[in-house]
This record gives sequence, structure tokens and C-alpha cells, in this order.
Amino acid sequence: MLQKNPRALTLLNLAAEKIGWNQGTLPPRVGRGISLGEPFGSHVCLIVEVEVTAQGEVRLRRAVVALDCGIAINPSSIEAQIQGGLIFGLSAALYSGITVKKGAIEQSNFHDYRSLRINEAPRIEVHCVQSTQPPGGLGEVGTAIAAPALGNAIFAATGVRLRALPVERRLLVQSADALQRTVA
Amino acid sequence: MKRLIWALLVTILVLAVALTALNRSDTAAGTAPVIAGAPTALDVLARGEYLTKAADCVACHTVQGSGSPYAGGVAFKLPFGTIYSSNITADPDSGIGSWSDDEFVRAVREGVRKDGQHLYPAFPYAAYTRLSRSDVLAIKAYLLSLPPVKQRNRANDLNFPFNQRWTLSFWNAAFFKSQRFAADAAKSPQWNSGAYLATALGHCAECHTPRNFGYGLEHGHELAGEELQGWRAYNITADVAHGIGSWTDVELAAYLKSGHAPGHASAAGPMGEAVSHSLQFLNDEDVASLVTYLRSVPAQAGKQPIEIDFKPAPALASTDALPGGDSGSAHVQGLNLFEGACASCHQWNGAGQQTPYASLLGTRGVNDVSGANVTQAILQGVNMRVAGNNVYMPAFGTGYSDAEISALANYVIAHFGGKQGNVTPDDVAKRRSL
Repeated sequence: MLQKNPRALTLLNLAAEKIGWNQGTLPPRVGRGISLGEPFGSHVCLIVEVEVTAQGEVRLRRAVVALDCGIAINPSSIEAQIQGGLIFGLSAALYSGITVKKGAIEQSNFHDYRSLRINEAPRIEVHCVQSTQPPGGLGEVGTAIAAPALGNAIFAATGVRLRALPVERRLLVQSADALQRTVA
Repeated sequence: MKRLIWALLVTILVLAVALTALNRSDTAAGTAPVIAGAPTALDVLARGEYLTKAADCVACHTVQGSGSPYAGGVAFKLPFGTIYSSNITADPDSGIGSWSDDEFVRAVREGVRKDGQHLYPAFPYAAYTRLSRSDVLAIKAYLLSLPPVKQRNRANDLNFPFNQRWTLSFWNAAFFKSQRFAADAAKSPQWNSGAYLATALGHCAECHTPRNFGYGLEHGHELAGEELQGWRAYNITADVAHGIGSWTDVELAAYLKSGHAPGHASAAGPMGEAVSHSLQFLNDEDVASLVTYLRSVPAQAGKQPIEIDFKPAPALASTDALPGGDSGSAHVQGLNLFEGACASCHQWNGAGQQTPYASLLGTRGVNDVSGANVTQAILQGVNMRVAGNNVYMPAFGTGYSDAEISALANYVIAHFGGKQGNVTPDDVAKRRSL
């Protein structure tokens, strides 16, 4: 399917190899999701691995990004921008809902408009391929690809296909009685 | 058949007489003890203002944040429906501007409004019935001196038969006694002032005294603690372990005046409202009287007594900046959440920084395994204004899931209370809806 898009195919294979796709089996309620695209003139593939607890909490275990942003000038800045953008995108997908009540936005500050904390962030690997293509964008590349991979990973872990964002964790509960237990 | 009809008629008559007798009003005007902050020599409006604050009218008759003072509309969610407080501003149509003195006194002390319909006992006429007529009229004079607000009362949303106001005459017969405050000559004047402040004006019992199956106060368990609108109003009897018997007079007075007693408690929720709208405005003499009275309330363990661990091992093994002593993997999620959202103000050793209100050790909140008030504080935060300063904790309810908040509450109880909390995500969901 991707034969006519060799840049994308390279990235898909690279990301799959790095995360160990099809090598061994994953524990129950753990799943991986892929997103592949060409936002902002760069080509990118993300595979994210999540665990969804019985009570519907999503834990980000790992993220692997394969990137072709054209000619790479400053590799450490590329890594930082992808990591930062991805964390922002995962935050938005998981937590950053905006709700309106009586004509006013309800969210006021970071206590009710969450972003991913350092202790909630996954390990993020960025693999940048050598390329002589013209340079593409980087700042929001990680952000753009976060939600689709996350949604796919949650589907793989739970069988629940989310149709709205941010993630409604109540929909991911394994069984009703899970919510009648204290968390171990 | 004839005898049966007679028996029925007699029974109805006896019941009617009994109902009327049990609904009888105390016709006495009543005499209040000396209230230091509202001496009778004072101008009636100044007296009325002090008494209105001491009776905390504003808390229930003003919608927090957006409502006009005393215009009503505050929702009270009860097991059988929702009641909305009424407009008590001077507006003649929607408020109480056209009420006569007698009508106002009857409403406050008997729970019967101008049109003769019963008020619901969410309005604490069971306490206010003890007020003297002159105090009630001082409150009326003060309320009517404020700007009138035109705002129609919102209709209650109650299920049948609770929406039938006439049925309250049965409730009154069972649980309400119209009776003025009577000074106890055997007790000190200070005690009597405190009793009047606590039982007639401040209506502490409305939240702190357990209620029976019929929602009436259990007078045998005065101030032994109850749960209301999702918050626990703690045991404030003289019980050393479960009440406030171990608090010093200075600590008690500080708590009433500021909402914080070092090593014991920080007010939040409904008690935070009581402090910010009412108690902080009492003068020191009246606070001292209140303390004297509270000291005399017979010690009781109350329902679901809370055992306070003053030396919780995990908190003691922590520093202000670093956690320690938490047991293995049991509370990983709660610890992670505390680390991200709570530790910077409350600190790992629970000492609290920036404000003494953020200290956690020794409080009943973190020692209550049901996690009622810890959960509520996390969900709703704290926002009160005391002595010109804001006491503030953000509300984390919208940002965090039920599972997260239950994990966090259980972590807080383990770390700062040294015991296993039993808060479940479903408990959190239930408290959210209150």
C-alpha cells in the first residue's frame, strides 16, 4: 500500500523495528497504536504503547518516533521539539478539554486544564533518518501525530474505539465493579 | 358499622387535637442573654447587622460568586429533591419588603411564611425559634435597610409527597418544638451567651448533630457529628479522642475566628462558609463564650468515630521536599498525583508552606478512612476570605478522574493519617453529584 510512498514506508518499518513490533506478546490491557503522516512538510511515524488500568486510567508506557524531516541540521533540537510536541499532543488528547458553561469557559488554570506531568510522560525515542530532501517543519509535528496513535493504542488495549477527545476514561473501565474498588 | 364510624371519627379527632397541640407556638417574646458584640444599647441596625452575621443568613440566601446578597436561589440538594433558598431582601414583591413584624417573626421562629405555608426545615427555624423577638426584629430591620433586589424565588424541585408543604405539620409535630431560649441560672453568663450563639443564632446543630430517619435532630447526640451535602461536619463534643476535648481554648477560638487551628484543622466547605460569612465577625468575647459553651457539650464518640494518628510514620519519614516511608507499590498512582499537584503546597511532611491552612497533620480530614472531606476538598478546593485575606486551594475536580481522585485521597489518608483509606471511584462520583 505504501510502495508509492517510500519515505513513509521507511519510517513505518523503522518505528516498528525499534518498538519491537510482532516480537513477543503484550500483557493484557496493553496495546500499541500507530500514526503515520506528513504534517508541516516532514514525514513521521509514531508508535505509542499504553496500558489501560481496570479503572480506565491510561498509562503511557513508551513512544517511538521515526522521522524524516528532510536535511537535519541540529539533531538534539529535533529530538527536543518532537518530544515536547508529542507531550503537548498527548496532554491535549488525554486531558485538555475545554467546556463552556453559561457562555464562559470553565477551565481557568493548570489545575483544571491539565498537561502531562513529568511522572506521567512516556519514554520517548526519536529516530531521525538521513535525508537530503528540503527541510520540513518540526515544532508541531509531534503534536499532530499524538492523538491518532493514542486512540489506536487504546483500541488495541481495550477494544474500545473512542470517537471524541479528550479521552473519556469512564468508557475504558474494564467492568463496573472495578470502580467499587480502592486502587491498589 | 356505626361503631366503626364512631371509632374512626374519634381517632381522627384525637389525631387532629394531638397535631394541633404538637404544633402549638410558644407565645413568649423571649429574652436573649447579653451578646457582647450586640449590646441592647446599640443602634438597632448595628445590632441587626451583628446578629444577621452571627445567624449566618447570607451563606444560604446568597448564591456564591454570582448572586446578589440575600436574594436567595441557593440550591440545597437533599435525598428527596432540591430546595432553593428564598429572597429575603427588601423588595416588596419578590422579597420580604411587605412582611409585617409578626409575619417575619413567625417565619423565623415557627417556619411559617407570610402566606401561611410551611417552610422546609432546611431553613433552621428549629434553631431560630429560640431567638428573642427583639433580636429577630433587629435582623429584619437590618435586612430591610439593604438594597432591595427583584428576583423571583425559584420553585423547589421535590418529589411527592415532599412537595406537599402541609405535610410539614407532621414533621413539626414530631421533631420541632417552638420554644424561646431560657437562660440557665445555674450556669455562668458567659455559658448562656455561648449557648444562645451556638443554638439560637449560629445553629451549629443543624450540621453537627446527627439526624434520625425522619431528618429530625437526635438531641441525645448533640454535636456528635453528621454528614451533610457530601461533607462531614465533625464531632465537636468534649470527647478527647473523637471530639474537640483535646483542643485548647486558644486553638478553639482561633479555629472559630480564622478557620484554622494549628495541628488540628483547617476549615473548608460548609464550615469554611460559616467562618468566612459568620464566625470571623464575632468579637473575641463572643468567641470565648462560644468556646465555653462547646466545652460543656457532653462527650460522645459519635457515628464513624475518627482515630487521629498524630505521628503517621510515612509523613514523619518524609522531609518538606522529599517523600519517604510510603509502602511499596500500594499507592504509586496516588503518590504520583500528590507529587504533581499537591506536594508543592502541602509538602511531603504535611507541614504546609505559604499558608498554615495547608498543613495536614493531625486533621480529622486525613484521618477519616471514608475520605469524605479530603475528597470534597480535592474536588471543590477551598475559597474563603478571612480577615481580609484569601484562603485558597484550587478545585481539582474537573481535571482529574474519579479513579485518580480516589487514589489520591487514599494516598493522603495513608501518608498523613497512617491508615488505609477506603475511597473508591464510585464514592468520588457520588460526591461529585452532591
